[in-house]
This record gives sequence, structure tokens and C-alpha cells, in this order.
Amino acid sequence: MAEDIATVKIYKFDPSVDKEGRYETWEVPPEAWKGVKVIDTLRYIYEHFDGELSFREPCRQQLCGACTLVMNDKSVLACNEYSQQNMVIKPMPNRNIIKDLVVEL
Amino acid sequence: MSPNKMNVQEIRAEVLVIGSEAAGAKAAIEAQEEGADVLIVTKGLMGRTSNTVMAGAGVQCPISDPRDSPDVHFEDTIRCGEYLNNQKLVERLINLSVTEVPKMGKWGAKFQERRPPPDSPYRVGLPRNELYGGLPGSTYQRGMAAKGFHGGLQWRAAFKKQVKRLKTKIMEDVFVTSLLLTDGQVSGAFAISLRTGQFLVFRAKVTILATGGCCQIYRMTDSSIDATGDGITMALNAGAELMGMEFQQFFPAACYNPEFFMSQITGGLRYGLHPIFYNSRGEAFMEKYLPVAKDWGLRDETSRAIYMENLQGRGSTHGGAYMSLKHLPANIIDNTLRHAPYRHKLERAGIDIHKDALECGPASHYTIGGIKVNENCETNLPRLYAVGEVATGCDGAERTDGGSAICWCFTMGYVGGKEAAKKIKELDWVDIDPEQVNQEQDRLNSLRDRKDGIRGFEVKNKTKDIMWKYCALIRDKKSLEEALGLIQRVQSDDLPRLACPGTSRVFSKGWVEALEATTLADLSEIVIRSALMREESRGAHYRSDFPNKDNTKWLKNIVVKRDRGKLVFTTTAPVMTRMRPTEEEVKE
Repeated sequence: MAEDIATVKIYKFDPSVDKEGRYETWEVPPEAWKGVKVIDTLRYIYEHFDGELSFREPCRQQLCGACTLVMNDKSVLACNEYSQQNMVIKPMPNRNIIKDLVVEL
Repeated sequence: MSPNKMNVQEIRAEVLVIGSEAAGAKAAIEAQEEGADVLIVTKGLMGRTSNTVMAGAGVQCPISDPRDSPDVHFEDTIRCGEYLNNQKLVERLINLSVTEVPKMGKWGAKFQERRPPPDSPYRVGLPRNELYGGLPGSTYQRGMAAKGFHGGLQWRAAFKKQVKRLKTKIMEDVFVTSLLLTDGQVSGAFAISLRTGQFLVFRAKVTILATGGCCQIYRMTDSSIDATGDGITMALNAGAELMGMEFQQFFPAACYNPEFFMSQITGGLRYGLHPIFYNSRGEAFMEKYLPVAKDWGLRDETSRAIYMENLQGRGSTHGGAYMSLKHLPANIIDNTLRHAPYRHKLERAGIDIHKDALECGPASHYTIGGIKVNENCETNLPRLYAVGEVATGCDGAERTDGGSAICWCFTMGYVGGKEAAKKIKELDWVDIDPEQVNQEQDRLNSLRDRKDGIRGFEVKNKTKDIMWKYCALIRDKKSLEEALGLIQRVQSDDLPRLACPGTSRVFSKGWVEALEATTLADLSEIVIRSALMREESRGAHYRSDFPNKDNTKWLKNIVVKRDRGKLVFTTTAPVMTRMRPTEEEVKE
């Protein structure tokens, strides 16, 4: 059912091969976005679609701050923010990007 | 030898500290203050990796209550650990806690300024049962509460301030994969720099492991996903002895619903307000299992009671119990939670804590066992120290509730750091064995380059499910043998097929998870086999086929070591200097 599918656009950048960043878009089923956090959606994409996706997720309990990223132009903790049906996910701005959503903090 | 071998950069430090959080940071700072050349390497980002940052409000220190003392703290610790602790180590650490915990305040951590008077609302919920006047396990109120009731943030702030002051060398996102040996001595470590995907070799006079526990062996855990026991496995593979691996602590009040594992919140509610646990029939069931302690029991006995209710079909919808504060007047709850940082989270989840219960249940929380150390935090391997959760000896069979782990981290960090700084003065450098470096590169390269097979997270999930189902709170011979068979199948069928997606080596989660999968499966085997061996119930370890404590046969520690690839299990008498079980306790 199309109304149950979410579109997730994720920033990708691998300094060992890419000159500049690009976006990849995934369509994910309801269990991957409805009532779950952004970090769970990223996990789903990593486990099912893009095994090379890099992101930080040490504590998942809103305590460490390492999963901070930008979702739909808002800086959020990926483990605290609920996923939406249309998401653009970018790394934290003004930071040195190590790969994809992983920055130096 | 693989053809695409990279040049491996060698980095040197007199003291190499693996792990950057409470225990590691403390050890590094203490060693550096003695003039040692120190390097910290850490799997993630300092202050954001592993479990310290998630620590709750308190840290134990026997100075809060005028009636308390290091002697009472010692006795509580040994009684709770049921005499399996290393008493020499415990005595040294508790005596140090009196200076080292308050020192955190001088280093930049903020404590709650005024402790509440004995009859303030904050204490109303606290029981005064005949067992514990403080948190479960403690005779008196022993926790020093961090400001904002989030200790992790305060400890992090203090350590960051000190490493900045001392200009401590830190390398982040460095995943150490093995220890290197030269003539039976630890000469350094091998690692992947996750930021570049390149290999690194560290050469050190002394290595201190501070890598934390292995709570991730269980499906249900409130630990950081970094807590995969890397250091425990590394040490074992290098020849170090592990001890007490059958003792894995479960926290009874991890939130199962509405939001999974907000343990800091539910822990805060539990310790601040003394909630009551109900089953699905609305019965307050704890008294049935714990007639004296009731809802104020130690973590594992409380976890087991919840688990038993579930086995008998009286659990909550999500497999736990209902934790409720409804017995307290609303203003007591409000006054107590006035400064708690998580009120808004409960509100967002649609929970009115005055009326609604939270669904809570057991989650793997702390690794009581670990690397065997003496009172100087030395392992049996020359030049290798272990501090914090990765080590064992402080807690015996069970930990006291609330802030004991952080206390051990600060004090073991102190001991490990100072002892290492002393040791390097009498030691020469030893060379790294190039053959080991080559072998480790080959192992990691072939894993990274394997395209077809099973991914790390799949194997991790398998292991976690096996352990949760067969080797968690209630164990027996049959379930443990079943678990052992299943884990051995993971080891023989899945581990050799581990593969990593893609080709990039930069921050490759797949590569890290494949390595962690091996670690988790190997440690699970040790937990299961230790649990099979201990034919009694004690502390965190419960055998339904041997439900009683057996002080005649089992006043012993189980030690395991890898000898030419094979695991060898032995027993040893605990270090008992001051306290022994009474004759009645032995006969019991």
C-alpha cells in the first residue's frame, strides 16, 4: 500500500571513493518508520538495503548525543525523534564528515 | 599472506589505555599525573561511547551518612557478593573511594549541593526494612548524587576537563581487535582505525584494558551497543584468565513499554520513589518471592521474580511487570521529580506517572565476571592491567544497587593508572612480533573481503536470542546444554561464513559487527559453560535444578583460560582476608 510506504533520502559520502556527497533514496515499509525512531529506520535500511551505510548509535537512550543528525532541516537526536513518511537525512552541519552520517564530534 | 597487505603504522606510548570512559579515562589521567606517556584509544567518541555516559545519578561512597564507614561498605559488598569477591581488592578500592569519589568534584563534576534531610519528601518512598537502610544491598544511604540526576554527564564533563588540562593523547574511532604478545608479555595491540579503514599497531610498555562488559550477549539489554566484551575476549585470546563469567547482572526495571530501555528513567523512579510491581492480575507479587525485601530486593532476585510471573502467564503485555507509584500522593511524586530531567519524556509518551504504571522488566545490565585481576589490577599476563567492568573481583556473585560500578571505575582506574606508572619505570620496551601483525592483518582482511555469507548483525541476533532464551535468569542443566549446542553451531557454521557488505573500509559497520559477532559467540560459550559448571544458586546465577546456595562445594570462583586454543575451566578459592561465612551459613 503506497500510503504506508515512507521515502527516506539519505546523504552518502565515502571519502575513499567520492569527490562529493550525494543522496540515495529508499522506500521503506511501515514497520520501518511508523511509531519508531529515526535510528530504527536507519538500522532497517542498513540491515535490508544498504549494508555500507555508516551512522552512530552507541546508546539509543537519548543520553550520549553521538547520533545527532539533521532530519528535514532540523537538528535531532536520531534515537529521540520519531520517523516521518518523508525524510531527508543529513549529517550534522559544519563538521568534518568521516563517512555518510558519521562526523567528527 | 594476502597480496594487498598495507603498511601498518606503529604508534608508541609507555602506557596504552584501551577504552576512554570512567575507568579508562581515570587510569590515563592518574598515570599521566605520575609523568607517564599515555595514549587513550577508544572504539567510539570519548564521552559518548559505551556505558559511562548512561550512568544514573549516584556513585557509592561511604561518607554520605555519618553512621556509614568503609568497614560497613566493605561488609555490605562482601555479603551481597556472597563471599566470592576478592576481599583484598575490595578493601583497597573502598578505602580509596573516600578520596577518589569526592575528587571528581574537584575535577569538574557537580554533585547535588545539599543532600536532602533524612525526612524530606525525597526519602519518603524509601523503605526502612530490616535488610537495607539505603538502596538494596546497602545498610545506609550511600550514593552521592550527581547534579541533574544524570551522573554520566557529570563524569564525562570532569574527565574531558582533565584530559584537556593534561593534553592527554586520545585516538577516537579506533577499534582494537587483539593484544600482541612478545615472549608471553603483552607488548601492545592491533587495531583498525575506523575513520580511514587502515590498520594500526600500538606498542606499549604497559597496556590497560578498560573496555567494559559484554551485556550485548543478551537480546534484552539496556547497555550501549558498544558493550560487546571486546576486551574480555582479547585478553582471553592472549592467555589471560577470566573469572565469574556465570554472573551476569540483570536490571529489573528496564522500561519495556512505552519506550524501550529508558533505564535511567525507570531506575530513577525505582530508587527515588520505591514503586510497587504488579502482575497482570493486579497483584503485588514481590512479597511472594522476597518476603523481607519485597519490592526493594537486589537486582537479580527482583528480575527473577518478574521473570517467574511471566513464566506462569501473569506477566505484562510486553513480557515484564507493571511498575506503579499509585500508592503515593501526587505531591510527593511531584516534589521528588521536581528536578528530574525526564518528566517531559514521560509526558511525551502519554504516561501520567501518578496514575499509570510503566511496563518494566529485566534487561542485561552489567557484567559481573570478567578478567581476573589482583589488588593492583594486574592480570596474570605480564604488562597487562584491567580496570572497570572488563575486570572482575569487586562484586563476587552480585552487585549492590546504585552506583557501585561507577565507584569501582574511579577507584580501579586510580589503582591501574598509578600501578602502571610505577611499573613502566622498571620495564624496557619490547619489540612487536611481526608474525602476529601479519596474521591479524590476514584475519581481518579475509573477513573484510568476504562478500558472500552471513552478516555480523544476523549472527549477533542469533546469539542474543539463544542467550536470552536459555541462559538468562533461570537456568538448568537441560536449558544450558541446549544453549551450548546452539552456540557451538553458531561457532562452527556461522562464524566461518561471516561476510561484510560493500568494499569500503571507511567506518565499516559491517566489519565491526562481524568481529563483534565472533566475540559475542565466544563469550556466550564461556558464560554457558561456567553456568553449567556451577551447580548451585548464588547471587546473579540461579539454577532451578540446584536452587540453593552450596557453601560446602561452591565457595569458589570459576576461572577459565584458553590453552592452545582450548578452553580450560578450573576453580579457585576466593581471596578472603576479613570476612568468612559463618558456620551456619556454610551448613545452610
